[in-house]
Amino acid sequence: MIRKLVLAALITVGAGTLAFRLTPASTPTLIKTPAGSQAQLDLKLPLEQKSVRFAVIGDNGTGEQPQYDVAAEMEAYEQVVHYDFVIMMGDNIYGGHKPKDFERKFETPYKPLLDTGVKFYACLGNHDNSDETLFKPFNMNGQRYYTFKKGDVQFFALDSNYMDSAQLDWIQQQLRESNAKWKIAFFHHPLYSDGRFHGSDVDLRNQLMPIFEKYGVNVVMSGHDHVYERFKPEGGIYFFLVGNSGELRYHNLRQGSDIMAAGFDTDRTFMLVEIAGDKLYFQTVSRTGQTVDSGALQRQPKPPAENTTPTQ
Amino acid sequence: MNRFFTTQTRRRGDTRKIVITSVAVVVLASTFAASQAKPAQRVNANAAISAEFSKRVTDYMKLRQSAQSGLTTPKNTQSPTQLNQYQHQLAEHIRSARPQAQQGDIFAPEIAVLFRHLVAQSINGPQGAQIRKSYERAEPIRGVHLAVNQAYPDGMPLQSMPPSLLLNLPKLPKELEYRFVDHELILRDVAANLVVDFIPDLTTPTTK
Repeated sequence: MIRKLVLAALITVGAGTLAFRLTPASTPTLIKTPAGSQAQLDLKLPLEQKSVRFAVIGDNGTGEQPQYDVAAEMEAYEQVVHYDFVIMMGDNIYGGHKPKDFERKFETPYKPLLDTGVKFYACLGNHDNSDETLFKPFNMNGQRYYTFKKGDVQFFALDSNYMDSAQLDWIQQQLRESNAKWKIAFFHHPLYSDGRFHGSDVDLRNQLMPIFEKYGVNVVMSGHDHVYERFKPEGGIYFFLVGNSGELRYHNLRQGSDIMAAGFDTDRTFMLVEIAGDKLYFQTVSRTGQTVDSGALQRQPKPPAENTTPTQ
Repeated sequence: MNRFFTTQTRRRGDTRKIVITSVAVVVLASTFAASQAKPAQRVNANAAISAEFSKRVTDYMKLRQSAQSGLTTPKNTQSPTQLNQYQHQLAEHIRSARPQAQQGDIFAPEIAVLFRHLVAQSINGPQGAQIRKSYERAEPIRGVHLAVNQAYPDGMPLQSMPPSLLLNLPKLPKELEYRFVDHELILRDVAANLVVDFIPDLTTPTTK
């Protein structure tokens, strides 16, 4: 109850005041493009010292020009933001999974990032082949679901294509044992979505939400619907949908939704995230370099079950 | 006399009542017992069929293990060529180890009946509506028929399994998974990308 009240207060502050407030560093930043010319970046992140910085892409592996355009924008921002890694929301490789597909749909578009040492952490979408788990650049170590930690942030990559009891047990145990300040879960199918093509996966939501709420997951990120969407907090958790970093379903977002905080469905996007202390800053950038959403979110308090120290 | 007759009649009536009541009790009790026994018998029968399914899966896993011997799993490889080669080699070894494999080897008729029941139970149960939505929203595969020992087609998406439905099916080792393809439930070898067996003409969770 107390947590709910605190969360409600935070949500009011977070969504009403912070979510749409641009961070101080919103002045244009000049960078050199790969072609040698100078370009302006509309940076919204504070770039605090020792912060955890990463990019988010989803439904990207088409091998077509828009994916390459987004990759070029990601590269431009990397020069300024110096993010260390990218998390992928699935559908990493559409269509065939021959060696040339890996090359055209992943290795070539992100080569500049890979060359600078940016790591990619993938999860599986419905268009992915399970052998992607063995592909070193995806950092899945042969696992359909896995976890990794960066600073105060622990990430939990799930396989939402196949949410069996083994995986549910695993995520529950991992979250229970985690002492990370921030817990971020990511997987392909969205628990909430205003995309008209797919929409929310309620069956998956009913399995995962009780676990996420119980063990204090802070942020959930997904793809599948080929749009960008940020949601009003649900169950005290921040939800993002980034499913348009290669594919796009033009004008696919349902209008008049009461769960949507922000949405964009007229071009491809990727997202930048910076976590510093109790703040999560985000900036969503379109294929053409336009900032379509940005803001800052306050870390939620841990749920009571987590705060309780077990007595021997 | 009258009194006696009345008493006798009453006694006879009482006896009749007792007999009727007793018969009713016996009938009700046996009906109740029968109604209780049926699900229990069904549970036992289902348990036996599940055990038979597990045994067949275990047999497949033994065959698979021997098919895999000599092959090295390309853990954390930079080379998609290696991934492709391993998948094809493993599939080829498994095919060679069960060249006569056919539909029903694992999903034997009585096992298929149990699976049809379990799928229908989920679809028609309290989670039915959300299972159907989850299924439809995961891009169902339509108009495709697969055969045993065939590779799952490269480039064709894998139908996501609605969690509530998946949780109602017998557990599998991590090397195998269930997937829907059109109106078939296939048993797929994950690493070999191979159709191990399938149940045809299944009622899938399509939206009503």
